[in-house]
Amino acid sequence: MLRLQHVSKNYCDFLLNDISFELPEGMIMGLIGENGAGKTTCLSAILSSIHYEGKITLFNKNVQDLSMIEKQDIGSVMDENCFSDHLTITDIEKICRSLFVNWDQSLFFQYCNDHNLPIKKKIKEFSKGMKMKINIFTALSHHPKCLILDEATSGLDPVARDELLEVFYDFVKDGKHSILMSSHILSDIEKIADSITYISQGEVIFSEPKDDLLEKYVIVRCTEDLLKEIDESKVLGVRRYGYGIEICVEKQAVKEMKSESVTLDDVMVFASRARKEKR
Amino acid sequence: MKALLSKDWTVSKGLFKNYLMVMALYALIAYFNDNVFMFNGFCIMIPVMMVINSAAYDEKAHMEKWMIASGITRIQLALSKYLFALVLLCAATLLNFYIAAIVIDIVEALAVSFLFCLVGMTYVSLVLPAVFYFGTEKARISMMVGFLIPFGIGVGITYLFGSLGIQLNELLLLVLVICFCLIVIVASMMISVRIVEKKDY
Repeated sequence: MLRLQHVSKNYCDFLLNDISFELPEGMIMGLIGENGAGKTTCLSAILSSIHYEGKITLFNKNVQDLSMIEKQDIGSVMDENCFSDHLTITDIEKICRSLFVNWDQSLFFQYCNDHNLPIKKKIKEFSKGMKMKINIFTALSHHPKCLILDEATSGLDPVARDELLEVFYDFVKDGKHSILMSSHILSDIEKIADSITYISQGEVIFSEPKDDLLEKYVIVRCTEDLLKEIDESKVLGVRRYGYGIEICVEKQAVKEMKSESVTLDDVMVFASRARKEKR
Repeated sequence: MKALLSKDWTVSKGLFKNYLMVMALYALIAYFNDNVFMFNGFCIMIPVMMVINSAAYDEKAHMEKWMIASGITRIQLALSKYLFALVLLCAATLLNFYIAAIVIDIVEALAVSFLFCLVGMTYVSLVLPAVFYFGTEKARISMMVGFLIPFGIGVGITYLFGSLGIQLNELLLLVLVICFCLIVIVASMMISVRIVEKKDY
């Protein structure tokens, strides 16, 4: 459904370098990385809001060649509220009705009612979470085929996040819709994503199915002497304590050692440490 | 385009109510001073301010980014502000004409209203490229300069023709003003489209 091939963007102080990954139909991909790693730049390129080098294809067409109607098959949620503070939900609905060809008014108001969003109140009186919900419901209410979510669940309480993850899960369950979502809340990504793409300092470190990734690595507590015995190429990262060390390593390299399963947080933290140490 | 106009109007309509109250005040002042042109001038400033305010709201909420992601082309994004200005200015011109026609001759009222509209559109055209390029915050300087340019050019033309010994009659002046304004408007549209096409949101 979505394919990025050698996408680059050069700012004076940051380089998004040769990004390539693919999001198949019916899948949810989590885009993870530290602050300033290039996630938003990457998503902005997909949404054509920035100029870039390389090729991005969506629905088997170059994104820059998509017609207005084809472009509306993408639902986007930015990392900040995109509606003026002076608007009410009714105003937003009016704007969306004239903008989106497949706008579903009843679905939009249903979402708003289900999540107790006040229709007549101005957006400036909304909490950050409520603003984010409006953006998400707007994106969902024009029946897109692909959702691009940039930090869409940040600012939401755990209950609301859980409800929305359910909505996202329903969105892809027919196998014809896809979601690419970036988030710092890796537990959400771990809960919902089928594959993970990790970006660090503008480069893709890995793009793999989530289950393979979590199966591939384990955490082992050991000593410096034991570490020397492990194949270095299999070690993702090392964390040193006063009395010992903790390593994130490929499972097959430490078959006989006592190990713990990893979380996405672990994988990201260890991979990030390793890159910092290399520098 | 309809969506962009709807968005601009929805965003700006809150302010429009405030402007209406000030407009009523200006109408009273103009009535007591027996000066309808004062009211006409203010009526033209309202659309100008509303267009710039709508750009400021878009910028603050990063609405342009969302619009582009929602299928709006960059050309539509740039030209919609001109269209919004034109629609508002036409409404203001109609009001200006009705008010002026009460006080002065109908033909004169029509000419004055049309000229005010043209000046308003030219002013918007002088300011919008700077708004797209620098953002509304920094473009405020260009708004002030925008006031001076038409005035400066008017004085310049009068001086130039005077020194060449050409007598400027009202019709020639009107044609010159219209030509100048149309050139500014078209050039401004082309510059704005170019700026928006190259811009990263």
